Amino acid sequence: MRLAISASSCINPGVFSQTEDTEASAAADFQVQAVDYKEHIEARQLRRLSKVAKMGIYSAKACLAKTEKQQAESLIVATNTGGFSALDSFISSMIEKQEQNLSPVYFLQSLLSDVTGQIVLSLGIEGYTTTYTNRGGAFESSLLDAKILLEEQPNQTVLVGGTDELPASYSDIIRHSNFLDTGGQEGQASDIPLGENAIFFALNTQIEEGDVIISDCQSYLGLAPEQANEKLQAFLSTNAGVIPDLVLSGFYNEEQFSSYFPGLEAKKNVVLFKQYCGEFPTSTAFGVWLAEQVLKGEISPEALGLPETLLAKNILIINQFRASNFSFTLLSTNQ
Amino acid sequence: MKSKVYVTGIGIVSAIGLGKDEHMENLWNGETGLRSLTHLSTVKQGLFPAGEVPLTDTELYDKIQNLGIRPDHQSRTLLLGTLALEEALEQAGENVLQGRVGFIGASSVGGLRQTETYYEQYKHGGVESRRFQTHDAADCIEEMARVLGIDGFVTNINTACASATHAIILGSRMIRAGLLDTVIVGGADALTKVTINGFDSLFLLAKDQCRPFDRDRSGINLGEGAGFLVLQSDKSRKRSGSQALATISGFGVRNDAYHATSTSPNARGLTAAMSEALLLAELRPTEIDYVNAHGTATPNNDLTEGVALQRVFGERMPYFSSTKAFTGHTLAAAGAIEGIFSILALQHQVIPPNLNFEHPIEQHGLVPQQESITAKVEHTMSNSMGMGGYCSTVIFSKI
Repeated sequence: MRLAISASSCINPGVFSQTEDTEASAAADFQVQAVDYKEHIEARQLRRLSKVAKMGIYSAKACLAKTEKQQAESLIVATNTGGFSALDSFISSMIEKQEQNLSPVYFLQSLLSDVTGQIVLSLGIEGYTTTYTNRGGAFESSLLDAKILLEEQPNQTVLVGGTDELPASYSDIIRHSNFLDTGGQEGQASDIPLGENAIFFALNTQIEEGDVIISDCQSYLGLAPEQANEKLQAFLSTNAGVIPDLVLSGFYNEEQFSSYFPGLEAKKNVVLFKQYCGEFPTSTAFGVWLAEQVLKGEISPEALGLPETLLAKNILIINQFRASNFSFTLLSTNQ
Repeated sequence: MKSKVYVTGIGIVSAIGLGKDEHMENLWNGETGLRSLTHLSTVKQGLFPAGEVPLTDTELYDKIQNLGIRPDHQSRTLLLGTLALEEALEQAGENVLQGRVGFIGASSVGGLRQTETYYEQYKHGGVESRRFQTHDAADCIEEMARVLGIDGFVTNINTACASATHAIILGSRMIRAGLLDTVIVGGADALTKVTINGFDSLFLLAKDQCRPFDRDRSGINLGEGAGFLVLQSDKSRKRSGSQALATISGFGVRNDAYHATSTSPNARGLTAAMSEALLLAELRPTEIDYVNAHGTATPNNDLTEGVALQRVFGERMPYFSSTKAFTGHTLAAAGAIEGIFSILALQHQVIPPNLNFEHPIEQHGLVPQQESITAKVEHTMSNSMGMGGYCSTVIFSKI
C-alpha cells in the first residue's frame, strides 16, 4: 500500500480544530458545535441533513477544495454512529405515536448509508461509492478498499473519510450499556471522553517527493495482548523493519498500552491521541490526520508534548476500539 | 493474470424456504412467500404483506443451537445469517477455511429489532441495556464469523439495498487482487418495525402482493432473510477440493448521483454499472441469458431500471425477472439472495419467473419472464440499487 494524501480536512472540536470549534474541547465530550456549514452547504439543503451528513459534506468539500482538480472520482466512507440522532427521533416518535404519522426525514437520515449518498449528491461523484460500518475496523477497511481501487483504476482521486456523530442519546446509551467496557484490561473506558468528527482524505497513487504517504494499514479482530504484540512485530518487519519516530496510540492510558506492547513504549515517543479527539469508532481517521499534520509540519511536536527537536519521518498509529478492533497504520514522508 | 473467482458454496434463508433446495422448488412452482406478518409485532401487521421467514426466533435458534451463539449477542438477523452461512460453508466443504480467509457481511438493520424493543431501557438504563452491543451490524457479522470459525479479515458494508451485491464485489476484488484465498460474502436482514414504518412513511409499501414491472405496480413488500456465498481463488478451490458452482466473471459499481431516494430517469448509474460488468467479463450484451432485476415494484424503480436494461441490451432483451414477489425486498440481503437465484438459474438451466405481472409499463413496454421455464443459461446478471444512489451489478458464469 502506498497511498499519497494530496489533501485532508478535519472537523473536530479539539485544540487542533481547523474551524472555529476550539472552545468545545473544555466540555466532557468532544462535540462539534461551531462549524459554519453555510460555507460549503446551501441553506435550503442544510435543513434536510443529519449532523453526520452536514459534517461529512463540509469536510469532504473542504478537503477537495485543497486539491488541484477539486474533484474525486470515487468515494469511500466509514461510519458506525452516523444518523443515530435521527434514529433516536424516529424510534422515539414511533413508540410515542404508536407507529402513526411518522416523518420520513428522520428515517432517511437514520440510514448509515445516507452520509455517503449526501456527499455524492453534493459533489456529483458518479464512480465507485461504498460505506463501511464495522466500528473500529471501518476506516481501515476504507483504506484497504482505496488501495485495491487505485490498483484497478490508477488515474483517479479517491476521497476516503471517517465520520461519526455523538448525539446525547448515543452517549447516554454508551454509558448505560457500558458499551466500551468489554471486561478486559481496558476497564477504565467509562472515563474516556467520547467524540465526533468528520475527517476526509484525497488519496491517489501519483506519488511525488515530499508527499505524505500511507504506507500500510492492517486491522485485526479480537486480539489478546500477546497476539497484538506479535502482529505488531510482524507488521513492522513487513515494513522493512521500520522504527517509527512517533507512535500515536489509541489506548486510554500508558499502563494499558504497555500491557499490550511492552518494550515499545520505553524506546518511542508515544502520544495518546484520543486526548485530542475523544473516543469514536472511526478514530483511526483522526490518528491518520494528526500524523499527516505532524509530517507536514503543520502541527509541531511540542504541541503534542514532545521534544521540539523531534524530527518525525515515520509515524505509526496503533489503535484499538473496545479492545476488540485493533489496527496499525504507518505514515511517512516520501523522499 | 488475475485469479478467477469461483463460487463453491451457497446458503440461503428467506420467506420461501430454508436452504437452496426449498428455494429452487418454490421458485420453480411459483410459490410466493408473501403473507401477513405474524412474528413481528407491529400495529401494521395486517396492512402490508411481507416476506417473513415462517419461524420464531426460538425455532431458528433450535436449528443452530450447537454452534454456541452467545445469548447476549443474539438477534434475529444473526440467526437468519448464521443459518445461511452454515449451509454455504457446509457445501464448500470442511477444508475451505484455510489460508487467507475473509468474511464480508452486509446488514442494514443488524440488531435493530432488539433496539426498538428495549429502546427505553437502552436510553435510560435497565437490565437489558447490555443488549445495545447487538445494535449494529458489526456485532452480528463478527458473532457469525466467530461461531463458524472464520478467522481473518472481517468487515461489513452498508450501501442500503445494494449492500450484499457490494459485498460480493468486494470479495471478488480481494481475490483478484491476490489478498485473500477464500472469502465468504453476503448479507442478512430481519424485518423490523423501524423498516416497516420507515418505508411506510415514504409511501413506498404496497397493500397487496407486489407486482414488479407491471403497469399498475403500487410499491414494495418488505422481506427478511440471508444469503451467503463462498468465493475462492482457483488455487484455494483446488487445495480444498471444493466443487465450483459458478464463476464471478464481471461486476460494476457506480453511483447514480441524482437523488437520495429515487433513480435518475435513464438510470445512468445502473446502466454504467451493467456496462462496466460486461466489459470486465469480456461479454457482449447478447451473451447474457438472464437478468435478475432489482425490480422493487415501486413506480420509480421499475420504470428507470427498464430504461437501463433497454440502454444496455437494446432490442435483444435477455430473459429477465424480479423475484421480489417471492421473497419481498430483503434489503441488505437482497443482493446475495438474488445472486444465489442467478447461480441456481445457471446450475439448473432454468429462468425464475416474475410473479403478478399483467400489463407492461407504457414507457418501455418490457415484459418479464412470467412462467418458470428451462433454457440454455450460460451467463446471468444480478442488479442492485440502494438509497443514496448506490448501483451494483454482478455477472455469474456457468462452469
